[in-house]
Amino acid sequence: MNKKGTFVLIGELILWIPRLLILVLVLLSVVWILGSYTNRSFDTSDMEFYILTNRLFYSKNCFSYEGKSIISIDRFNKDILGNCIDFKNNIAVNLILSYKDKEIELIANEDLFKRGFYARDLKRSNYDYKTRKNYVLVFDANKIYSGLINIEAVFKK
Amino acid sequence: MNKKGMEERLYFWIFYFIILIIIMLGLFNYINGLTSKSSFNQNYLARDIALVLNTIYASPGDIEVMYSISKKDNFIFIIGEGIVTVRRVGDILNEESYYYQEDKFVEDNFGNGLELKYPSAIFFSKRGDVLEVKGVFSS
Repeated sequence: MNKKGTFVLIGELILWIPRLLILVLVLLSVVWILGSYTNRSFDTSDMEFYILTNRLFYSKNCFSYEGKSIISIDRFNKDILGNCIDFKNNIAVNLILSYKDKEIELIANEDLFKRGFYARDLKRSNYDYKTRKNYVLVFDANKIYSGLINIEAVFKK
Repeated sequence: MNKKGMEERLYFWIFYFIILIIIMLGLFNYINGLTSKSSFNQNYLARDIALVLNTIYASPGDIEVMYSISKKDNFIFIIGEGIVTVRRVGDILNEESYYYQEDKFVEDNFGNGLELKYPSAIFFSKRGDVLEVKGVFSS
């Protein structure tokens, strides 16, 4: 190719830079528009919360006394909580058990819980915050007491 | 324009055409994925199976669950390490995953990830502290 041809070629290639940028912008716009109208997502946080709380009460590997829906106070601790449910970094829980004149609090994934808790009132948040109070029976020193458990959970979206 | 110029122009046009084909195929594939509902089904299955696993872990006694899968859903299921992944063969980019919460007191047969290719059902069995999951394959 002669010098004139080389200049023409380089000129064409330089012109392609803004063309490619515009092309990428147009493609991204198309994808974004299509995505915003066809985005179908599920919200299963209510069901997950329901299953999680039942697991805490009924699973014999969690707080349940001999597989019954009674909380064994000997099992209501952080070790049991961390082993019976492997939360990883997706879920955080805060449990407050009140019975007789005692109050025991357990928390798993404290940092995640705090983030979700403080973001609970925001319209758009990366976290789902759920809370529930249950009347429960508590087994302590061979006696059964009535109690109240407050369960708060934060689910990462 | 002389003959040499015409030839160079031709190469440019071939280049434009190749780029156009690549973009068209990419867009077509993307729109097809949106409209074919396959990623929707994958998302649904990943979440549903994760919820089934959580429910099984919650059970105080022994439990067996047969989870049927539609014949139209030719997916690969990977279960293990707290994640359920659903994808198509050779399509790693379009996989859907959802997490479940393992019970460290329960032994399972997942290893590093139990892979089930095109099962017609998934069978879950928890007896005592042992959880077994296997695929059911119809001929």
